[in-house]
Amino acid sequence: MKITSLLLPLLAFAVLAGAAPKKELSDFEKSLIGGASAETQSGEASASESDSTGSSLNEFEQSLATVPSEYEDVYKLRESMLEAVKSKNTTVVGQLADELAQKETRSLIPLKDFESEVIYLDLRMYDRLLDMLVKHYRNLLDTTRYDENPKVIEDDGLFLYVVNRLESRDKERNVYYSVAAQIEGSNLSDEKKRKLEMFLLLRDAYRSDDVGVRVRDLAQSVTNGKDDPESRWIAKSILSPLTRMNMFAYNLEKRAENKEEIIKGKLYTGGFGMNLFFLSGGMAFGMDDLYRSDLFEPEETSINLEFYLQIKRFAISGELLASGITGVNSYSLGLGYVAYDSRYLKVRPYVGLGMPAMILEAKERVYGSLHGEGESESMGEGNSEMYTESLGLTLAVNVDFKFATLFLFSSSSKFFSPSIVGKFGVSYINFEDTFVYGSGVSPFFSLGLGMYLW
Amino acid sequence: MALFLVGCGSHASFVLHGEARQPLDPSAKVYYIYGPETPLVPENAELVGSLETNMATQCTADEVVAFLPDDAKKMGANLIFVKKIMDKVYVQTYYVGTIMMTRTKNCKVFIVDYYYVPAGEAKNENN
Repeated sequence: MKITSLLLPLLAFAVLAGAAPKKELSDFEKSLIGGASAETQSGEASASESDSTGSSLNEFEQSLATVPSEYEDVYKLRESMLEAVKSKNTTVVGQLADELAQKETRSLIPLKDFESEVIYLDLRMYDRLLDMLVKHYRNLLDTTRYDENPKVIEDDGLFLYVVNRLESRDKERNVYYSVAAQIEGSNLSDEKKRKLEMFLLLRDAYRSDDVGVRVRDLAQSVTNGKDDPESRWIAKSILSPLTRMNMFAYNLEKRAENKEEIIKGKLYTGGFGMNLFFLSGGMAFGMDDLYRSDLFEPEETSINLEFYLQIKRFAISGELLASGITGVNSYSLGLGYVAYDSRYLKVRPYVGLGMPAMILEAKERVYGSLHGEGESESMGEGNSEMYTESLGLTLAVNVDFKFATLFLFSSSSKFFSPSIVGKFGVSYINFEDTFVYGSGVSPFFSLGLGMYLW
Repeated sequence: MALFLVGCGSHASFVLHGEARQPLDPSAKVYYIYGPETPLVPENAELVGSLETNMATQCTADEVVAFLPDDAKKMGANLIFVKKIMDKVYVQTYYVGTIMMTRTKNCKVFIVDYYYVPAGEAKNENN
């Protein structure tokens, strides 16, 4: 089944809006056109319908003999119009078009838009053509403009002339391409040339991707012109739908447009973060005799990192971090609270409870026991051992500078924020081991890079 | 031109414009405009969102046409502007035991805009 045939029953007012005036309309239908009025579908479409009338010259001649008297003046004006068109008298054509327009009533359409289009194109009356097209599209969705079945003139010489002209057109291409050179060479202003091109191409905007793009660009340039009286209408009724033809691109555009709002809405909602610290330092108080420096050499660990899971404003974290004491690292679990979060900055104080660890390398063979009691331990020269009989308590604050926040792949709501991270705090450390013994306080800091998925 | 895509997920691609609207009554009338025939929308129409139908859930034109009005009403829209209908090939993969099988079908994908036309306001304008 063809798509159009499926849709046709549903295109209650739209598809047929231009073909012929319709039934009495509901309030809703009237609302769709916002007080405007409708006339006819674009020229080619209407003309093709008219082809089916199969007018022949004989029929035409017969029809002339039966002109209803109430339309006689309209027929005469149209006959004069035909003569003026053939003699290419644009002044008279313009006057007659105005006179015919004045004859228009709810029950009579003296000159259909597609007839005007053909005539104005033939005679290169581009100013009038542009005005006519604006009016045509302004009224296209108005189904309340005419009574049901108004009189249209399809049995005279002018109509036949127009049909013949339409039949001679290249039906594979939009008519604009046949007259582009003439329009460019006309004395229309550049703004009007672009506007005329847009309206002539508009009928194919949703039939051809290339034409759609061209119409979109033209509509954009027209709406950028501050003085154009149709600017607002064109922006809303023509340009806006054409900017959303590629859903993927539109999605990206929309999420970029809404990015700051989405970020704002996601602050304090939570996520997962990982920080790597490359620079650490600090001081120690009360731990001067933590180990025998004449017997041992502390080993530095090169990895300082932190993982944390944030749920709303609360965060649980796990970290391996250097302290302010050379060789002492802390493995701890923390509970934090996001005190401040913004587009670029996040401040997360936390309390950590853990196990400090120290790796010592013996400079010579050593013996000893804790408090000089119990079983003696020994350590050979050059051997290393990690001492973890300890307790650590940390009070610190994480400060993250989120220097960028990017959407996570194709998501419209998840982000990835690379950050410069800093950790500042103080640890209380207590060692009670054979060769490491003592307690004290160590203010410390760490700097590094982090990433936050949220 | 037919495109070759692997289907995944079950939801249509929908981009909401602005704030979410209240759903319309299921009995509300929904209107269509077919872009290739009528290439513009009413000036007083308020954009609700844009949709590309999903081959996985609506493949045939019948299925799409049955789906759109209900979906539009759920989104608070009473006007559907059909902009494009594309022919695409939907490839479905499934397993029979450990063997992966594929099945293809030709589908119609619609790109549409949902609008809401405030009937009351427009009526006043007409008056």
